Amino acid sequence: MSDLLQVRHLSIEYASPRGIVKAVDDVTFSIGKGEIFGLAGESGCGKSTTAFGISRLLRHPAQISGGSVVLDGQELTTLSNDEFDKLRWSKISIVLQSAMNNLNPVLKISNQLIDAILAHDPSMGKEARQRAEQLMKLVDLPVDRLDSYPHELSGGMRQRVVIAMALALRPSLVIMDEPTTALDVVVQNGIIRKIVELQKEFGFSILFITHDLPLMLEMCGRIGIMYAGKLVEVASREQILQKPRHPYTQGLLNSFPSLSGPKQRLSGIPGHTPDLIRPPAGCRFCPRCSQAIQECQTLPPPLVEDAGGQIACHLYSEEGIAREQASAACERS
Amino acid sequence: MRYNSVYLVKRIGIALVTLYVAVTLNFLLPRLMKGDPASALASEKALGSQEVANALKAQFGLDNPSLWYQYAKYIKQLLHGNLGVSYANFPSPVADVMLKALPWTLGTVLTATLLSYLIGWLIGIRGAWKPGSLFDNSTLFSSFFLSSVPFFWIAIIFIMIFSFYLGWFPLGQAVDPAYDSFAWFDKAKSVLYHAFLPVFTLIIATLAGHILVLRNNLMRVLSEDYMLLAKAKGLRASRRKYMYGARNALLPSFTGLMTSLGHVIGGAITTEIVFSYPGVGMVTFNAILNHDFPLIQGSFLCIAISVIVCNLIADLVYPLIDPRVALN
Ligand SMILES: Nc1ncnc2c1ncn2[C@@H]1O[C@H](COP(=O)(O)OP(=O)(O)OP(=O)(O)O)[C@@H](O)[C@H]1O
Ligand SMILES: [Mg+2]
Repeated sequence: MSDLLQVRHLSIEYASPRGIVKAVDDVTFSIGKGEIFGLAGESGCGKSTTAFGISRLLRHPAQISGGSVVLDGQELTTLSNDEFDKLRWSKISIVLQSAMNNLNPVLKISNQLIDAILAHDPSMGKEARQRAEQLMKLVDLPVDRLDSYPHELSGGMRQRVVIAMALALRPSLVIMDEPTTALDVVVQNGIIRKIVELQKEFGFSILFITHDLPLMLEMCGRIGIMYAGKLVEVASREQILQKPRHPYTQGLLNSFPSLSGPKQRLSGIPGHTPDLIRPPAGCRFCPRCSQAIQECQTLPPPLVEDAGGQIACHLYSEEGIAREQASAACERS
Repeated sequence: MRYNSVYLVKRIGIALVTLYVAVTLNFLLPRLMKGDPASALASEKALGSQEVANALKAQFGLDNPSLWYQYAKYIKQLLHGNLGVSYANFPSPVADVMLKALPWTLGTVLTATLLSYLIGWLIGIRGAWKPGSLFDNSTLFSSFFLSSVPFFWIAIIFIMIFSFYLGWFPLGQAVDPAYDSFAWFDKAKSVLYHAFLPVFTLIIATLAGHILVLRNNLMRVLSEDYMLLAKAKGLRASRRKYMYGARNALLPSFTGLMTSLGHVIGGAITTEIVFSYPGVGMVTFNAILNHDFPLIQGSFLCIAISVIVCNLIADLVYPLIDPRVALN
């Protein structure tokens, strides 16, 4: 599987009155062609900021402070705004979290689908309407709903419209930032199934963001775990299910009673996320980590690639492993 | 058409009932005051003529003590457009006095209200689109300043500067004293020349509010997810700014506009007094000073009608511009 998207050392900051918030710090990962890549982590860890950074939708006072984003061999961070406007939606589209405010309340669904199509291909003219009808069918909505206003649709239907909109120009990457968080579980399941089905049919890649880890483990091939602006672990679904390595990943998994259990807020890791203006000197998870060793307090663990994926934890560096073996040997003797 | 006949009938019905209540109050008010309504509404002393007073009393049933009889007569006269005779402008009927003042008020206050909203909205949109820009900061600062200054003060300062010291504009009145001898072109010039400063003052005095309200509304709209999605979809800035942004930000202001329009007729008393401008505001003010009851009644009725009509228009137009309004 060749890479569609490569994010390297991406850093994003918010200039706040209290100081600079390092919301995304040196994040590196890649997404293969036709892959569903999950990004999980507690609220405020920088998932949305990463998504907006990739699609250049960051709003003031956020700003990319370093790193690169390569899509299909093309470097995106150096594009001009005009160039990016052309590329966005035709190559990268995005589905936002809120089902309530995603659509303009005073325009009909048809207008909002068609204006996306015409913005990139004004020559479509009348065909754009047909295209909009096809898109409605794609997400299992009746075609006559095109003439409805957003408030006449349920939250689930609206989110389907937004998904249809995201697929309007057949992008190669669709970023979905908690696409079903605001919906009830039944509606959510229907939409998730639809997303997976469409993904199989068209073969686009998805960057899927959520803090619903069980959901993510169901649908994503590979998963990145973020903590306080840092990517702490990237691994395949199987790896995460069977042998999560980072203590934070383990904590996250332990916060959910079972994979099919009811949705609930994360709990189970004592303490709270650090201040991103003055993060801890060493590993950002160190203050809450039950397995912390000495280095963790002073030395930020680099994200290293190995056979199991990517991991940023001193326990899995060479010294860490050696120490563990030594202490294990000590206990044995 | 988005609305059905039920909605239409209901809204018009409500307007008619309100109008009826206003008319009835207008009938009752002079009668609730101390003293004799007959002498208040058809005073021989004020009219200076026994015959006229008697004729009026007969017309309005004031010679009969029954309130119901008077009420029936009052409604009948009203339906014929008869509002009685103004004392201060004897022998002009109230309707004539009102009709003479109305064009002046409409020409100035209506123009000023429409322009003020339009300019305020445009400035508000531009400021909110680039918050923190030089344009935004300077209009914001001026707006805060202007909205904290009393209106009559602005009017007096403007007269002092532009009329008194600079002599660019007349000190007051709606036309030149020699107006009647002018050719049509000079007449038009004289009207515009006299109207300019009152209109300008009214605009300046009301502009700040419109700027601030629209800027706030648009700032709120711009932070909505559908605005981000519109940008992501690749829509042109102008479409995002007007069809997605301003269109939504203007909805709450539309009702405000219609309310202001409803008050155009009665609302500019201060301006008309300061500029000695012979509009409805001035007429009403003088009527109150002169205890000219028939004229006060007539003016009250005009104001009530215009407020009710504008509210009705607002109710009928709003569903056309905001699809979310429930119609039943
Ligand atoms: N305008 C802002 N100014 C300062 N800091 C901000 C601003 N917006 C976001 N942040 C900070 O950036 C961090 C990352 O926010 P982000 O929205 O990316 O989190 P998230 O992982 O998407 O969370 P959630 O799961 O709640 O959506 C947060 O800690 C937040 O405090
Ligand atoms: Mg988020």
